[in-house]
Amino acid sequence: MRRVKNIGFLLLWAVILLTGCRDDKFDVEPELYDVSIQLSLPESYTGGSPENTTVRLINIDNQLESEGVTDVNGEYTFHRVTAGNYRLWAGKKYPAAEALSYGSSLVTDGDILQNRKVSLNYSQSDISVTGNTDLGKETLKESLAGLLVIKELYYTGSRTPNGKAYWSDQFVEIFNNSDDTIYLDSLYIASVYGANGNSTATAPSPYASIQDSVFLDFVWMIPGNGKDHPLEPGKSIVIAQDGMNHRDDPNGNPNSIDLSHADWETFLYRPANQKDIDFAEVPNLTEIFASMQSTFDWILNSYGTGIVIYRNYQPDKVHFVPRPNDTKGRTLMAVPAEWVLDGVEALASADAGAYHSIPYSIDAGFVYCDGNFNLQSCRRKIEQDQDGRIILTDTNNSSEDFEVIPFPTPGTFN
Amino acid sequence: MKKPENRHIILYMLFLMLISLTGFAQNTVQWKMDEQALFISGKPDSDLPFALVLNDSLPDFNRLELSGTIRNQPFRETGTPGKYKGLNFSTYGYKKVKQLRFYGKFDYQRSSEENILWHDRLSSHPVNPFQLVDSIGGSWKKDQYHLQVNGLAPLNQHWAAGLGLNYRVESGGKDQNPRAGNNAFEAIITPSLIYRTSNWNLGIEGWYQSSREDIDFLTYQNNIGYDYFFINGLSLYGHPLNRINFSYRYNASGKGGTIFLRNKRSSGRQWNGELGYKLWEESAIETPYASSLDQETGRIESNPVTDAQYSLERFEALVSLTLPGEKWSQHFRVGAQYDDGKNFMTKTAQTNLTTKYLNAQIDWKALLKKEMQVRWIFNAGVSLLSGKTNNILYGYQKVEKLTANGSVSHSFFTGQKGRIEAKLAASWQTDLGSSLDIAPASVFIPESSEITAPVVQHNFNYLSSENVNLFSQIYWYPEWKAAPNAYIRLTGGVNRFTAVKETNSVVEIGLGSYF
Repeated sequence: MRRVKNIGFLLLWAVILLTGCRDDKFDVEPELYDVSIQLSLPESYTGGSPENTTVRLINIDNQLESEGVTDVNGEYTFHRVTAGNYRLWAGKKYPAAEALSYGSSLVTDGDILQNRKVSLNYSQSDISVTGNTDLGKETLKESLAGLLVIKELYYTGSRTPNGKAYWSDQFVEIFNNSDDTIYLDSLYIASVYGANGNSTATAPSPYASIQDSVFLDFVWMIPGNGKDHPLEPGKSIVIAQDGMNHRDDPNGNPNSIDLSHADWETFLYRPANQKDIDFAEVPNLTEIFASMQSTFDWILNSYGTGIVIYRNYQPDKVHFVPRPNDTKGRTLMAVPAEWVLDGVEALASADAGAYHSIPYSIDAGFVYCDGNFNLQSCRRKIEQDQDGRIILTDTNNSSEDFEVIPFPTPGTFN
Repeated sequence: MKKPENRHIILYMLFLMLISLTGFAQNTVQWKMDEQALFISGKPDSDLPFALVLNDSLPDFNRLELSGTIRNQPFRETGTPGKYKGLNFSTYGYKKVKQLRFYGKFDYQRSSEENILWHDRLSSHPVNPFQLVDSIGGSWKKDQYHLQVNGLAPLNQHWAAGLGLNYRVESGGKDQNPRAGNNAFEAIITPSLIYRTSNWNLGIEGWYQSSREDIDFLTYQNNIGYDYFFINGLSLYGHPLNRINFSYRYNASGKGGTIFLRNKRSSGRQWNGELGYKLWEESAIETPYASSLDQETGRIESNPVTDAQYSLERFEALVSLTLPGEKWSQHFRVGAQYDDGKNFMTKTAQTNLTTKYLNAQIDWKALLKKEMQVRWIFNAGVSLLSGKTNNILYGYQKVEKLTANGSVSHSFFTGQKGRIEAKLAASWQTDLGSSLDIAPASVFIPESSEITAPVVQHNFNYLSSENVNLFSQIYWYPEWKAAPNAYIRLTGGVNRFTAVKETNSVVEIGLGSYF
């Protein structure tokens, strides 16, 4: 009997010893989900159909995407979606005449004459997928290709014959995509605050989630009294960091480009420590705001930066916010996103989408080059070319609208 | 490369205490083959719970060895070096003091390991499949100290209690940016209780483990950020992180136990049975101890983030039979170990990786005695490794491997020149149908990443490669008067991977003694 007790005691101890078991959380396996949306045409449309609208779901973490087209009811469901953060873009196009017949409120006779197209777009960011997700019924918004658009953004820079990095040849080109002369007086050109994803040591902008404002690092303005600087349809202006012929200047770079014919340059006047050179042949933009006063030129990050052009419709709506992680108390300028005429987000690489800083309503995608100091430039694609009158593509999605070209083309398409 | 810390000096002192504890015993185990014959049923802590072995009437003996090792490994897994140079010091001993039995062991190992790729832990094969690595690689210098003390005391006629302590300290550093500097420790406590009758031993041994490995990545002489990757089995977890400096910690703990049974007949025939279970969990923690001073509050702040927790359940079973005889003694052994691992990702609160592996072995060992001396030892065995690493939604790796091995050891008496023990061993490992199947279940899961070719595909090729291993070892006991059981050991081996036509080799020389 005692022996049985002893063995019983031993087994009891064994049970106590081995009662620890694995937590239930280790049994939660990942699942795949459905994400669905139903799209409808704008309310003014009495004809047409939301069928065949392209819908694209993009994973923000790895930029992998899935694409489909809606059915006759405007519905589409993405299957086998992993848990994570996504953004969605949807769009279709109608020729201007067809859009007008359906009830478009934008199209004019001039648009029909030029065979312009109406874009119907919808974009949504910050989609968190943790289960089957129904994004509900959403309405496509119509837009004609922008009136003023950024035609080319050259930020990568070049290398000298000695291999030195050279970035003084950066420029932004703005194009009149409309049929009317546009006066550029008081047009603002600005670079947007935010990292480009070149290094994960720098976090994405904490302001990126605020989609109704743009947070600006550097702001310039075209001077004038209202009608001093007309821009004819199909014409463009080049805004150079330094308006010089970089190819033959002793301080330049023979591998670079000629910007001596630029329309404007960004000259930083810092009399206490003047480093930027004013090239007299090229007029200067007016400096409105510089978050970093110590900088000596408007240098765009050679791995990418966001650029917007906008009009200031109501000065009291401009406000200033703290620059993140800044110990010197510097600020950024914030303006409403609805003021922005056009914008393009340039990031470091294809998988840097998490660093998107410009509201998705301005640019639903982003452009990127293969590294830096390689002369690559981002140029908007041509939608139409009728007898030399060029209309550029503008769907507010630079992933669709832009292409990367191996050599900058300031003022031309060649 | 960091210098040994004070705790290492303490270990040295403990070792000296151990030596003084064991003392110089009367030498009943004089040669390696004697020792092998003594432990034909299994050595403590490697084959059987120590309490089961120490409960037998073992003679007192000690062994000490200093050795050097060189390994060349042109074909290898990531984590293992292309060339390994090691210096090892090892000593252990058994001692009976009145009714108490003791076993003590101390090892020190210093190694220089060249060209380790995609790996930043001290262990070449960490159990946890979730690893933070840099992509640059480099050569390492490592130091390892290991102290083990076991004791067993009879409580009364039937009961005996035991306690084992294992303490391991390791440090190491990489010679190339980003320079990893690692410090690790592991402590294991194994209490045990045995119930004995004349024929039966029934016992239970607890197993409590705690370990930690800290990695400090530093970049010297420049401020360049390097990419760090989280490898989770076959796929990358998240994005590579670009950092100039990085701190990481692996914190583990485990518990479990073994129930064992022994039946010994008067004829000497002996059955051993063992059933074991262990639950082990390791957390992978980012910046756990990198602290910063909050300028406003004046407080030191630390913000550890647990990226993943790997949980492993291990089930072990063993049955063995020993048939002693005057001339022939034989031992049969059938054992199996089943590992069931799951990796829980904290951010998604999901387990996206499972590992399930079965390792089963059948062994036969035979001793042939002549004039009461062990003259021959024969060994043959077959083992099967079968299992699957499954990255749920991404793909899996199935491993099916069979290994057959055999060895023969023989002792030669060479008169006044002493004694020679020679061993020849061969093994053949073949693939029974391993496969690597990567098929993402969603278009939102990338099919390949930076690690797919250099880590996943490469390691699979290594694992599934057929190879032949030849190994020889010679112990020469020159019968020096000053140390009659001192020996010189020479070891050499080659491992030929037939498909890739690569050959790995090892050479080792040791100087030691039984005393």
